[in-house]
Formats: sequence, C-alpha cells, structure tokens
Amino acid sequence: MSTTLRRAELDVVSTPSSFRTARPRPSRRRIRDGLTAWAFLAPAMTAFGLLVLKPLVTSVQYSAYAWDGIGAAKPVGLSNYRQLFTQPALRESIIHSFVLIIFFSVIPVFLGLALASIVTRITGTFGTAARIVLFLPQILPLAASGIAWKWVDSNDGVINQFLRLVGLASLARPWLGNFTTALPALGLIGTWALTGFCLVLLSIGLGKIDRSLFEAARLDGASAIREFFSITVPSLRREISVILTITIIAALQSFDVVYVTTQGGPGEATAIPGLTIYQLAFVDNQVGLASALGVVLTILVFVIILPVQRLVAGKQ
Amino acid sequence: MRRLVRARLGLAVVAAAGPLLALAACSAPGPSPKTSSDLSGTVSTTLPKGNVTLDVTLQTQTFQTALFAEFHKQHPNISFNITQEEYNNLANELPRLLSASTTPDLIRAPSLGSLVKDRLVLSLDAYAKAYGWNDYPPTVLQQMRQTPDGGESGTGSLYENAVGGYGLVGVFYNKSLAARLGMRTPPATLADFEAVLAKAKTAGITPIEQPAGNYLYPFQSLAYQYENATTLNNWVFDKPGATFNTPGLVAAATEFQKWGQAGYFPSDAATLTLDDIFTRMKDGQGLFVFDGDFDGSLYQAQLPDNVGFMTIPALTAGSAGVSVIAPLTFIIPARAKYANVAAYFMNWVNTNPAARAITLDQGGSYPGGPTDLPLPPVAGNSVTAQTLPAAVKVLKSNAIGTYLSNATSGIFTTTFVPQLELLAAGKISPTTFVKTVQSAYTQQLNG
Repeated sequence: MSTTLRRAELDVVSTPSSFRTARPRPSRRRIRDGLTAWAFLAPAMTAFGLLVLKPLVTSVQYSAYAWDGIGAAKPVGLSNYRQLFTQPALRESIIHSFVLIIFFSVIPVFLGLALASIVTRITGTFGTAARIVLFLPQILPLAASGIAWKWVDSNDGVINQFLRLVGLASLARPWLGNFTTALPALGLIGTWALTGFCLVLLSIGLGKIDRSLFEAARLDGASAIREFFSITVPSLRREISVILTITIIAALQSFDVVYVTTQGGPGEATAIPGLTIYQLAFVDNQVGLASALGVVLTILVFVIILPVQRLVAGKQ
Repeated sequence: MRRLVRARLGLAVVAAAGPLLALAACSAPGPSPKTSSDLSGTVSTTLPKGNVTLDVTLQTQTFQTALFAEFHKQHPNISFNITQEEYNNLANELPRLLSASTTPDLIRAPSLGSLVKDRLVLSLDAYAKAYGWNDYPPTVLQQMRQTPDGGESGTGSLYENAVGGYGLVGVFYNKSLAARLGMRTPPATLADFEAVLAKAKTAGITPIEQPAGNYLYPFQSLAYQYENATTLNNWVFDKPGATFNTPGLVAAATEFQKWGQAGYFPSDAATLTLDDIFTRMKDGQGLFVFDGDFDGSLYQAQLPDNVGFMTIPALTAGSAGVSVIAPLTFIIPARAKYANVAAYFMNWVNTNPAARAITLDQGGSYPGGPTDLPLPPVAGNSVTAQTLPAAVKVLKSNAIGTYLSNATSGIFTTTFVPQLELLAAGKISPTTFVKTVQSAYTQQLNG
C-alpha cells in the first residue's frame, strides 16, 4: 500500500516540472485556466492579505516604536524587545502557557483517543447521544463556558458543594482564586472544551481504518490494548498532528477564557502572554511593547508547532 | 523530496520576511506632532435657542441618566443621545473614542491618561473663569488639573469637571454585627479599628469583605495614614522625582500584609463580586467593606437600617484620618461639536438644586460645586445621612487623598491588582511591593 501511495505523491509533485519541460509555451487555454484559478482565489487572498498579513506587518512595524496608540510615535529600535526579555513576569507568563499545553493538547488527545475507541463501539441512539454531548462544549464560545466554570469553581460552586457533601470539606477551596489551583483549574476548562473536538476528529479517523487490519490482528491473537497501540494510534497520526497543531496554538494564544475567569490572577498565577498583550496595548497604552510581545509570541508558536508537525506527521 | 520542501519553505520565509522588514522601516505610526494648541472655540454661557442633540457617552449602570433626563425637562430644546459602555471598556477605549472622526460632546473619563498629551481634551479654563468653577474646593480642583503637555497633574489647566459629585471612600459595616462585637461608635484610631478586626476574626466573621481586584481601597486607606498626603498625591500627579519607595509606604504595605496574613480578607477574595459581598454582609458573614459612598444605596438596600459608614481613622487619637475623595470626572472632547452646551450642562449639574438632589439621592455622593452652596435635604434613616456629613468634614480638611490608580492609565489593572494580591498572600515582601510599583510606574510613564 505504501508504495502506491508514494508513487501517487511523486506524480503529484512532479507533474508541473515535467509539464514545463514537455511544453515550454503554455497554451492560451492554460493561461485562461490559470486566470480563472486566480480569480477564484482572489477573494480569499484579499481577505488573508488584509486581515492576516497586513496586521502582521504593522505589528512588526509598531514593535520598533514607543507609541501610545494615538499620539506621535518615537522610534526606539529593538529596545521594546530588550525590555521584554528582561522582565521576569513575562518569562513566568510564557511558562504558564506551556502548562496550558498539557491541559489544552496532551490530556484532550489521550481522553479523545480513549473516548473515540469506546464511542465508535457503541451503536444506535445512545452512541449518537454520547457523541453529541461530548462535542457540545466545542460549539459553546469559550468566553461563555468560562463564566459558567467560574460559578462551578467558586467557593459555593458545584464542586465544593459536592466535596462538602461527601465529607471532603477540607479539600474545598475557591479553585480559580487559589494561587496553587488557579492555573490547573483554568487548564481543565480548556480540556473540557477541546476533548469533544479531539473526539470527533479521532472518531472520523477511526472510521477510515481498514477493518481487515483488526481482523488480521485478532487472528494473530492480539489483545484489544495491543490493537490500540499497534493499529489505532499509528493510523491516526495525521489526525493527531492536526489536533496538536490546533490545540497547541489555542493554548499559547489563549485569552478569552482567562479574561473572563481570572484576569491573570490571583496575583500573577494565571498571567499568560495573550492577556499581557491586551493589557499592554489597551490598558497601559504601550502599543509598541504589546506589538513586540505579539511578534515574539508568533515566533514562539512557529518554533513549537514545526517540530511537533515533524515528529507526529512523521515520514512521508 | 524533503530537501525540495525545505528549499521551498526557506524561499517562503525570505519572501514573507522581505516585505515585512521593508514595511517596518517606513514612516512612524500616529500623526505627526501638531504645532497649534488652541482647540477651544468661542466661549458662551447661554444655551442655543434652537433644537440641539448632544452625544453623550456614560458608563453602564449609572444614575447619571437621570441628570440628563432632568436637564431635558428643564430645557426641552436640548436632547441627549446617550451611549453606555461597561466601565473597563470605556476606560480602555477612551483614547480611540476621542480620536475618531466624530466624538461625543461629553464623556465620562475615569482618568486623563495621555489624553491631554495627545490633544484630545478641551481645556476648561475659559469656562471655569466664566462660570466661577475656580471656587470649588481646591483639593478637588487640583485632581482635575494637568499641565498642557500632559506631563504632570494636580497643576496647570482644568480639563475635567464633576458630573455626579465628589465620591468619598470609606468603610461600610453591618451595624448590629459591629455592636455585637462591642463596636457601637466608629473606632477613634487605626489600632482600635484593628482590634475590632481581630475580634471579628476570633468570632468566625470575615473582618473585611473585599471584591475581586479591589484591595486598592483598603491599601490606599492605609497608605494615606502612613505617608504624608502631599507626598503621596505628588506621586499620583506624576511630579518629577516622586517615588513610591518611601518608609511610610513600606509601613503601610507591612500593615496591609499583616491584615492578609491574619486572614482578615476572605479566602476567595480573588473571585468575589460585589453581589457576593452584599449577600455576605446581609447574612452576617462579613463585617466591613471598603467602598465609596456612590455604592451606599446598594448597601442600604441589602441592610436597611443596619448599614453603618465611617471614614478610615488616623494613626493617633485626636486627629482625623486622611480619606480619599474624588470628583466623578467628565471631559469635553477637543473635537466636540457642542462644547458650550456641554459646559453649560457641567455647570448646571454642580449648581442646580434639582440636579444636586438627584446626585445626592441617586448618586450617593456630595453633590459637587463650591462648598458654600446649600445641600439638598436628606432622609434621617438613609445611609446618606451618614455619608454626607462625613464628606462635608473631609472636604473641609486640608489633607485629602486621591485614587492611587490615577497615577498612570495602567497602574491599577497591571500593577496594583496583582501585586496587592501577592502582598496579601505573603508571596512578596512589602519592600518588593513598593519597588515593583515604582518600577512599573517609571516604565509606564516613560514607555
């Protein structure tokens, strides 16, 4: 199977170059096709250029100035970046976003895998209902679920009521207002929201796995666990790679859920770069410094995502 | 093939970075510095005869809408188109609202920030002269002044005026609960106050219920007792050389930390809302809360006939404590279309008897204007019967405090909120606290 796949990929890649050598001058029809393609691409490209590239470029530009967002700007070269790297609070906030990766990416992938293998085995109404319920958190805006979780986690919230009911009152605490538990409690909101997303993607992936592989494994006497690690997980590589990319970006750039629940507190226990960028730009009115942090965060996302893609998507 | 991909990726990076760098090198953002500075037009103290509609931006949940309704009742040809924004959004959006092509004619501005420096606010000096605003209490007027370059507050031109009176920050308490703990009259000294806190704690009552992110009220109340008011006000006003790193403020921070470590604040302070606090005060779970007289009616609604109000006592007996009292500030944008009408309204709010009655009854605060104007009547059993005399007393004293949060536009959210939580939790020392605040202040002023 893998050889055919490789040949197919090679064909796709080599078509344009072989085409070029075979026919040096493109025909009129070919040009027209090309123009049509560009015409179809144009709206998306324009939106991408205006909404993604332009802000990126302006951020890089602003990061070289001391600017309050309104008045005259003063060019300061790289001093905004220098300031970022000398603030210990900022280092802390980047560490916090790495902790969030565990809750936004790692745990949802494991939970999603486990749930997907269970849910795909359940057929009928109950299976569908289970899938809908598990996916539901994904369609709620994170800002809205953040507010709901704030109640759940509060001193008199459901979690603490339950703990007191079962005689564990000593464990009850304001989960989002406690220096030690705030960050994990915040992370769990992400786990809750993203597990459904992982579940759906992984269930689709599971559905695509050739059943005969499982039959063959069973004939060879493999256990369910062995099947899971030798067939299921390797077959889901691409799905897992997509999930990790999206959820890691969500963790590193998270803002809404922190903004509505803890605002970075208590103290600086849940300060994360996304919130700091917002505060620098719109509360402190230090647009240059905020832009510099934005640029650093973008680079950080690339630096983390690229190796993940390589590791997980693996050999082609 | 992988090499091919890598080569393409490299090309893409170069292709993307090229224009990025080229564009980054082009002209600076923002307008070029202006040279002319006279933004005010012809000053008139009479209302136009024809119909005029003013654009006004307020914060949400404010009684001030009643003031505009009353003005329209008295002057039917003047109407208001009112927009309301959540307080934090309004504070953050202010520079952008004022630099837009059309601006409101009158707007609530919690602080001036860099609005004066960016020439977005009208100087009210001419109106102050025409209407006699310079007769307001000097300690209040001072808080609305700034040098025209925006460098220093507390001096220079008048840029703000009160719409909604002068708000006094003090301590509300559950009267019957306090009486049960032996406190029948407000404590005479800070030490006496702290003795009540300790008693409450022993009795299983939370001594100070303070909502999330508002440790500033108790801290600044302590700060103004341990540090000279002028020294501290100069810091808020960004006077050159002013510093937060003083022995007095270290002492205040030490005391505040003592309160935190003794468990005088609720364990879930970081997640509390004002509504939670009302419930707890009502249920007798909490004794004190540091808050402004502008929230007085809310406490009264929860604790009818049982809400007490006091100002923070001084360190030594016989002298009055220094309290924070500050005007509820509004500004007229530099590009306001009806600046004269907006200024007329500002004057009316501070002097008209009906307007002053609304400010006191619904706004809860001293109704603004000069102190020689008659005060509206107060119902004997209302909380205003306690807060108004307290405000009169504070306005008569020559040492008053102002909100420490007005020092820079971001110092409250990005510095005081997290650092005071760290201080109360014992995670940083009082010395680290004052140093951190000072370095954030310097960075924000020079940034």
